[in-house]
Amino acid sequence: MKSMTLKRFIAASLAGISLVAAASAFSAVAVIVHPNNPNSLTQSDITRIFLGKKKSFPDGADAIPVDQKEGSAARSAFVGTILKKNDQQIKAYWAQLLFTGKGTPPKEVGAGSDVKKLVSENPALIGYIDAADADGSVKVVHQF
Amino acid sequence: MKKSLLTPCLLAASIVAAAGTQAAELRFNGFASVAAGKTLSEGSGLERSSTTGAVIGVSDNTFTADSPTSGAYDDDISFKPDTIFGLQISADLGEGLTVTGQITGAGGEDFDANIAWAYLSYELNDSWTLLAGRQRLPFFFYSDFLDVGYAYHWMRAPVETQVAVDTLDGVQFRYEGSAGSWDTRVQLYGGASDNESKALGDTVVLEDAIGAVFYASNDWLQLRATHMVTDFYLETAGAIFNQDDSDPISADFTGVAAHMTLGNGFVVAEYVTYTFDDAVQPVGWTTYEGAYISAGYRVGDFTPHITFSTDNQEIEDSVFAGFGLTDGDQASDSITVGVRWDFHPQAAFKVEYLTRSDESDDNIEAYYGDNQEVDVISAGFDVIF
Repeated sequence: MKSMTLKRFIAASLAGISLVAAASAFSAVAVIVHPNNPNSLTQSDITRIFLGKKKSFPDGADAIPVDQKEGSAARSAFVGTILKKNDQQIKAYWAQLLFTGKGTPPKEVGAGSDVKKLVSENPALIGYIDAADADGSVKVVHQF
Repeated sequence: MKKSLLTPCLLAASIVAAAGTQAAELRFNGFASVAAGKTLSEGSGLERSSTTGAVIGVSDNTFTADSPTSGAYDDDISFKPDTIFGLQISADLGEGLTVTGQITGAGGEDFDANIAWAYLSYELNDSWTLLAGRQRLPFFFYSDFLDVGYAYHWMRAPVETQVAVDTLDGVQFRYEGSAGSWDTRVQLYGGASDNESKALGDTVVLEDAIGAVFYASNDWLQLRATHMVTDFYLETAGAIFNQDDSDPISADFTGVAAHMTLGNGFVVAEYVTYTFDDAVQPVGWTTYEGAYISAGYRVGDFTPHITFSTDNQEIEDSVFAGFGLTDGDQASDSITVGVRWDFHPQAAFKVEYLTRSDESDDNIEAYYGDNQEVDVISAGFDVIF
């Protein structure tokens, strides 16, 4: 009986800690693809696609990354957490490639709602939105 | 800036679409560096006649900030040496084919418009891309984006790793792949080019240039190695010196570099060397070596940095040996300290101080004077759009 209480106490504490941790971080971001896209992606697959180092999904189909407009919270979180760069570093990275014929940065398509709409219509696209906005029109392949 | 460029871009795209051809997507991008600087103290060198080797005067040293355009600072404030504007237009024709042109105007060449890049790019498959047309020669780590100041922390890449020629008209095959946590890139290229040199008052012609670049990167480390061979001669002076088009000098370039990102800090180091099969006359240049190590640490929007650099030019069998230019090494050591301030999402402000000392052999210093010694201050803005 006593051990039961203790277990409950521990479980409740852990739940409380994780809630506080989640609330103190930014709101979660989801990486999304078209619902018919069969691929599962690792974080490094996503990083490579968004840094222009990989142009296809694991099954060989074309992968085209799309960015939210600059300054959005989801974009800063994505660049920081997934691409592991700050906003200036990612610009300098693309400046090196863009002006030397080695690559073109992802197209900026607007707000999260624009990204979701485009991704829901095109199996080649991959984007990111606030996790709370994800619904049946897109498939979440990674969340952070 | 971005918005005003977007309008003509969309206009042009709709014109192409309306014309009934496949809609080509046009992309406009650009960069600019506007900088000023001057020498603060300078040694003085002996001016020598380029034909006889005789002393024709004594002059204060200048600092060549941009070797490809010969842009140099002297003791008057100048806005030219580090200032450059670039505009790039790229048309995506679909199915992996793009056409790109980049026009630059550099202060060192009085802002004359210059076609720096003009190429077709075609993705042969997932790994291989072909670039055909005009490109920047990817000699060393910073060579092909030397013009894009926003992409690095200094006012300019270390002059020890700059080369007076910068253009390749030819083809490049590029491979991109990955293995584990590493991404790799291999560039194989070949071609020729004419490079006007203001410093030489002549055109340096490259022929049969062939090179390779190996590059690997992961989350925190970038490694690069390159090798390139080319023949070259001076278009008009060939009749006077030994750089004759019938018997060009063959040159051989090698470089290795590493760049480490460690949290908010970074360290980058490079060693380069090139050598000629026959001493370049009249100055007797043979093997050149240059190297630097640079470190910086980001604190908020500020990145203070420090760089040590060094170079050594061997002089052998100069035709001016009779005037005292006997075999020896012309060398220098430099320390550069500066700070980059990212005050705007698309612009940085930089200020930098460089002090260079002459480390040449005594016989070389006797011939040229103290001609490497110079201190330079410079500051400017780098913008991308």
